[in-house]
Amino acid sequence: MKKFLKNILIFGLVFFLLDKIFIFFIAVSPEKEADKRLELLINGKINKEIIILGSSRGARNIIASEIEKKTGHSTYNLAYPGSDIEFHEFITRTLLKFNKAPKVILLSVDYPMAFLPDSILNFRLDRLYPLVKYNYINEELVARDEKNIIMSNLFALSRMNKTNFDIRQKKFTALDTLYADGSMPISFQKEGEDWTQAATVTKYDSKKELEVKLECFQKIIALCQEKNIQLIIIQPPLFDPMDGAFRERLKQLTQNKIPFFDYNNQNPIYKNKDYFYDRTHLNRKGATIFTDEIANYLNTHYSKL
Amino acid sequence: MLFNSVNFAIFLPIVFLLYWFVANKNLKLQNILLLVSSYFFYACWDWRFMFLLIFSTLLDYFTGLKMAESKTKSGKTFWFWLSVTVNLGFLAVFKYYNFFAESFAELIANFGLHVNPWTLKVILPVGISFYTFHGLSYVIDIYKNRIPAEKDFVEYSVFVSFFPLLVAGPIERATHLLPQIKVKRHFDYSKAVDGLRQILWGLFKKIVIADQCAIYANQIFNDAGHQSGSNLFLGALFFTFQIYGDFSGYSDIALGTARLFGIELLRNFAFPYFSRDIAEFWRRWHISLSTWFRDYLYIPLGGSKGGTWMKVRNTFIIFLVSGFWHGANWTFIAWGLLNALFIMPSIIFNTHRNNLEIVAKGSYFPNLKELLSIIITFLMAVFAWIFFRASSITNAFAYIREMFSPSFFTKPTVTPYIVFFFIVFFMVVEWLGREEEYALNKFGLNWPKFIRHGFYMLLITAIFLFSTKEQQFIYFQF
Repeated sequence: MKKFLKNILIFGLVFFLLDKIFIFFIAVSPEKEADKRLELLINGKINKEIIILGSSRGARNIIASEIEKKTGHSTYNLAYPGSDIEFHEFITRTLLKFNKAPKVILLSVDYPMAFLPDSILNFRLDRLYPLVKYNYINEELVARDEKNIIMSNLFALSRMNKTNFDIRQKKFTALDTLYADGSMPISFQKEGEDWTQAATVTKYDSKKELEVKLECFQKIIALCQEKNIQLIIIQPPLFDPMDGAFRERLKQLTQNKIPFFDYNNQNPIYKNKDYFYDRTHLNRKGATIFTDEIANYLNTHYSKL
Repeated sequence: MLFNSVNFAIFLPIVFLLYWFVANKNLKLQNILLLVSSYFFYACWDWRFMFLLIFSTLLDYFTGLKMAESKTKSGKTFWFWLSVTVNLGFLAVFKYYNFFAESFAELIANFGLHVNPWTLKVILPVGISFYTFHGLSYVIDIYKNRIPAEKDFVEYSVFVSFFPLLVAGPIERATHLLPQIKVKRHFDYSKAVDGLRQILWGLFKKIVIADQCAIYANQIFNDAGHQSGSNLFLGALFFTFQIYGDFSGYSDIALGTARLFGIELLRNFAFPYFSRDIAEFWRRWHISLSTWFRDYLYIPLGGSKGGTWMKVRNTFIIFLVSGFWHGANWTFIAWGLLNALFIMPSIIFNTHRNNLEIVAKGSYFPNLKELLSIIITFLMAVFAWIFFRASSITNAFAYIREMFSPSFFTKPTVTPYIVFFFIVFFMVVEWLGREEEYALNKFGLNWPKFIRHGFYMLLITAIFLFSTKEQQFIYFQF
């Protein structure tokens, strides 16, 4: 038995020491990232008056620099393609923890899947793993049961995942080019997209909503109220018609207390494929017009920010 | 408490040290410690269902004693049927009641009658199918005079509840496990090291193979309507490796853990994906369940004694029951039926016992005929797993229809190369270790120590890197 325990201890000790080699990967990972917005956020470098949150529709449809130019207020886009409302809540929380509170947050909501079970929008763990050297990020992973607090403090390997081993310098793709203002507008159109407009509208079913997503939405509202931030819900245009029940549901969830900016559905460009990248995202031309509408709305209603 | 959790990594060493340092002098104490640890382990899931486990244990213990005391055949039969009825009754209520209620409502709806079935809002008690089968094998063996009734309640309870096998098997036999519980265990260095090695391989199978394949299998099966034929084929392949990695990984951890306590459990897997026909596959997959059905259902039904027709009938019954054992869903029954159809030619032509030894024994490579047989058997298993994984029969057929569409020949879009790499690595190690009890058993034992230990450390590194949220084992739901 003594031999058994001794050998296990030696094996464990050697593994513990060898594990420390992997600290190198943890240290190097952030530098290799192309999108450094989350790291800037943690380091308190995003001190802007207007912040844009959302998924790809927020990232591609709203151009922060245009809003800044038109309103005169510094603006930054923190919308992440493929992210869900849980991730937006995390971004809001992180923003307010490490940075000066903005005056306005524009939250782009995803019709119809913002609160529904959906495989396209996720909590973007892949954005967190490159930054596991930060305890704040590790704690978030622990809170989400991705990692164990004891193990991740003992072993470098337990903090990481397989992506940390890819220490090549990441580059932007044509689709995901991030501009200095954090926005990701696209100047081209998706190849092979079917532009036949849907004849019917799928009914929005609030019974399928997930409690956890609704809670995150309410947390964003509460965080903004606590810090005296003007939250504005943004509904970006889609090529296909939308079910009005979703808008009503949003109003119900916010008890009509949060301003709701809906795109101008009378504007014919939102029926014109030339302004879209695909059926759910505008291209740069369309995004410029939509951003202009938002800037006008801000100038009209929030001129004294 | 999951085997792949930090809680278990804390629980196991504590029980191990108490077992060998505090309870090592006394058999009674060793067994009491195992029993208390097992109940604690089970209570971590849901303490309320512990009462069901204890009740089931008490029932079989007392009916076993009563059967032994019975002077008359009718008395013995009474106690036997009492135990069988109550055991199966619990299984029926907790596992199958909702299925029958809903299926009945659907059936009569076809005749224009609409009823709202009264369904139970209960969760399935973890391990109920496994500990019920433990108990059943015990009372059947007493009834058939194969074993005497166990008088020591603690020893009997450890047999039913021993924590490594409590929630997902292997399904033990009283004839195999009880004698080990009745003798004092002594620490054996080589057995303990072997146990750790098997746990390591089990964790690798679960975390690196099964959980990674699960990501892509789920992605494809949950969105099957929008996937190309080639993606759907990949989805079925991912599930094939997921379920093997998951369940055989669990079994390896269970067997390895038991070995740390000086107890040998029944082997549950013997490299099934290297089988040359479906009959061999079923001798190598979930062995403890297959042999349970063979001994307690197939043989009592007449087995192979009544000619070909009897064999065909009994084989169908076994596979249908086996499918149904897995869960209250038509998909499992279809899976069982499909396997029965696959095995039928070898039953009819009496070739089902052609391949008893492991393939290519003593050589590195199989011959061409063996290789082709392995590939065909493997593809049949992949096909059958589609029914097992699909959420409904309709979805399974839609999945298969689309899989065999022209888009089967398009380039798949789901290509996680790192997962492919680990699957290939896994299968190579499995192939090289296929003549042993488990792949890592003797793998690398003749290498220099530092290389062998380096290899183990690489496996641990992969386990660390791929571990995310603790993932349930598939068979916990059965």
